[in-house]
Amino acid sequence: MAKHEDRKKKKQAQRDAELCARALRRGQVLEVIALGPDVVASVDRLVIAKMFAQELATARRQADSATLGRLVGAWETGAVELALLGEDEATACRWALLGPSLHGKRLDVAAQLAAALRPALSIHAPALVPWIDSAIANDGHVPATATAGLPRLPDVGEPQSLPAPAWLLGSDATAAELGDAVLAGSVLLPPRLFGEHIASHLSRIAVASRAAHAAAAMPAVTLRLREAAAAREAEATAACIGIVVALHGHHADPDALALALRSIHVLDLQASKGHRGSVEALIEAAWSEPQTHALAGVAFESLHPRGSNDGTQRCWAERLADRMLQRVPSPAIWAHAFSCWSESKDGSLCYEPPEFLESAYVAMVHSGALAAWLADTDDRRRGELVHELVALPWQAFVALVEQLWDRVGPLEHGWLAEMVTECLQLPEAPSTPTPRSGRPITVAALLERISRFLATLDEAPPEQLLMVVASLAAMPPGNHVPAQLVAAFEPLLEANEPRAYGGAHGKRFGPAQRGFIDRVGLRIVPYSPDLLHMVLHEPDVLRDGVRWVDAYLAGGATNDEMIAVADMIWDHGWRHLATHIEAQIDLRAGRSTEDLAALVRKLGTGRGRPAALVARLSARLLDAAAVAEHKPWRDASIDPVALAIARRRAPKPGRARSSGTASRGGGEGTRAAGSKPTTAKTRRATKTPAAAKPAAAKPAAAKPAAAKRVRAKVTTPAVAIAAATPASLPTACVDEPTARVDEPTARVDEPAARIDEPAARIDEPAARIDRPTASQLALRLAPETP
Amino acid sequence: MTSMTTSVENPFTVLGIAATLDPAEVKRAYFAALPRHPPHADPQGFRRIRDAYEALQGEGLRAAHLRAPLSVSAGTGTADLLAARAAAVARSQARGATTAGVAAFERLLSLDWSAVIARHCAT
Repeated sequence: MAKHEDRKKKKQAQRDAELCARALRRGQVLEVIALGPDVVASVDRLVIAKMFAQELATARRQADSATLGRLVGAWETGAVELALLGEDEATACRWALLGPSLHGKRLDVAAQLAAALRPALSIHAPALVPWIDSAIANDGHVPATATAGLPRLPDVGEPQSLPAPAWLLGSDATAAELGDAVLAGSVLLPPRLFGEHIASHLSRIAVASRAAHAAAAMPAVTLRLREAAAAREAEATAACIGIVVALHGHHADPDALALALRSIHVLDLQASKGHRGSVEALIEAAWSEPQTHALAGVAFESLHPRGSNDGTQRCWAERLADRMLQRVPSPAIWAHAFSCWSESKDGSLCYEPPEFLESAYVAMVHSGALAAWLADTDDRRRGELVHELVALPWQAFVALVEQLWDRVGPLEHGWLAEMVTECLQLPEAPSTPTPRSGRPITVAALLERISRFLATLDEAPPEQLLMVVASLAAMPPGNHVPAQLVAAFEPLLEANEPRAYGGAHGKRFGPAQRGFIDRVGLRIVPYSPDLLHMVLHEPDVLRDGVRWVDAYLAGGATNDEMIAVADMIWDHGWRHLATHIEAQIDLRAGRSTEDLAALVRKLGTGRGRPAALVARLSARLLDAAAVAEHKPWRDASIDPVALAIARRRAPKPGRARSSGTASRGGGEGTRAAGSKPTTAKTRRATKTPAAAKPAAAKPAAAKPAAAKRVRAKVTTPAVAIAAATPASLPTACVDEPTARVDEPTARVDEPAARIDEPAARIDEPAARIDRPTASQLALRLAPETP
Repeated sequence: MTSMTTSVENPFTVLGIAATLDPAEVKRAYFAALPRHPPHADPQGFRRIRDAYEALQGEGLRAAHLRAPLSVSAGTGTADLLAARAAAVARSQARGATTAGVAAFERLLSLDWSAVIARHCAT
């Protein structure tokens, strides 16, 4: 029996040896170990140790639980220990087998392993010793008390070398696990590293689950942000703002954005430019959210308040505004950015606004958003902004005024009209560059410019200029003029180049300008005499000028304004308008004696005006005054106060004005026949008193009796009214004899030709003037004479 | 951001309310504070609450809301969150300790075969 047993053992040993040899040949060290300690002991220790170390390292790396489980079983037999060379390798092996033994509920093996590990753990990870003991004592489960009591180990190096809490979670972790990890990580990790780990985790997981993970992480982040902002920790706040924005990208959370916006004030962006990136991203994200849109706008304005002189900050704010406007166009943000730019340019006209400001402006004007916003903003801000807008493309400004006109109060129409008139003076199409010195210009072009210049001259052109013109005319028109010659002419000719309205030749409106004028011009013109002046230069508009003049006068034009318009019309010889404006003056004069007196006074001063009109109004004034003497003032519609003042100012009997005054006054009311529309030069040139002309003196000599009669009545109260108006009434009728004698000449010579008055009217002034003759006047006024 | 620093008194604090974007709440707080600072009896106090109220009108409300200091306790559900965080921190510390210990321990246990051979040859 014993022999049989021996033989059996021998055979088994032979078989094991064969299996061992085969396993060694195949590199299957686990098969060798499984054969038992005797077989392992028979193998060269270095060979088996090498093979085992490689196998163990692979199993640990791959977390190969099957292999580790087999090793745990082999460890019980002691075969594993035989395959290890030294204590370090033995500790490594025991550590690798501890986990699988706990998971496999092989607590006795785990206890043996723990006991063997205890010396090494006591040195390097003492906190784990009670943790392992607790796990063994609790059937492989570690109680919470043991886990919570674990302190952080100081000997693991810097926190940065640690995996983040998220590292604990694989890509298959749930959102709840991430939320828990983020809660802990927000406290345990430095803020910036904390953010990096969250971003890293989100990038690792599937896109579909990112929103849920972000939502789970957001509460922890906002709590940390709130703490950091309350404690005014700039670094932590900036990091948390960055995390909030990153999480918001996966899961929209306006409340978190609002909180982040409220924490911006903790950051000192001027001192730390690194925070700007976070803040920019935050404002952009909040700007796109309807709930935080307005708050983001306020935050943006607070970041770069108006009046700030920090250029770097301004550039940064402009870039941000650009991006914000690209996302959501906003008049408020645009206006803020634009005002900042306007303040920064510091009066420099050549400083072009950023392109995005212009493009956004045009877009918002087209959409009507800017006008709507301006209408709702306060008057002062609106006024400031609109005055700055002139620096931007005028086409958009004109369109803006058109949209804004009905939205603002009438008090603002005045300055809006002035500004739009300024814009309309700009050429619609980009002007062709004026030839400058050195640029080639043809003979024909130069001759054309010179001829334009000559047309504006009142006097004969200088001889030298004519000689130059003659020489140029002899040259082929297509030839280029020498640059020096062009340069010599430029200062002379440039002033006469057609530019905007008011230039020597005027300039037609472009289609856009004309469209604007057709649409809203009649509404604006009551507020802008310049606009009236401009539009009347447009031939098409001039044909319909009566409407424009009426529109202007209907806006409550004063006497001065009405007479200014009349002067313009008379100066330009617009005959149909002249008739109309005189009728308007007549009409206004009929309202009250006061109006009449003011008009007569205005018309009689300063410059030559149609004598017929002046005489007619003067006579009407005299009539009114005379009637007032006989009737109660209420019936005569005479202002008793004005009359009393006039009486008090009236000259005493026997101190009537000299005829020299009348001559001068009469002269002012005249104008040489055939004179051109007046320019400043021509007006100066035609100021020769009419009384000096021989033709004017003749009628005066022919009627001495009448002259005497009227002179005797000079001191009547009615005349006193006229005398109280300096140099006005006397012109035509008050200082009668000479004035009346001069009158026909003045009327013949003057505006009749320009305003197309019929010849009959020119030739018979006394009959056409609707006023009493001198004798009638004398009779009417006689009772009042002392 | 110097312009945004709260150099002046926070108007929400003056009116005794938490920072809000609700104008009605501001108005209620102002009228609630008025009887405590009648203009004839306490002109300075009245001026103070009046200034605060005016600072919170229109766009000023948003600006003041942005400048208002944040407080941790003001958040909704903050108490629960704080408790949850404390627990999570404890758990994380445990995991961290374990992990840290394991990491440190395993660093020591890394099997460097060349070192093993060298050590064996030496023996």
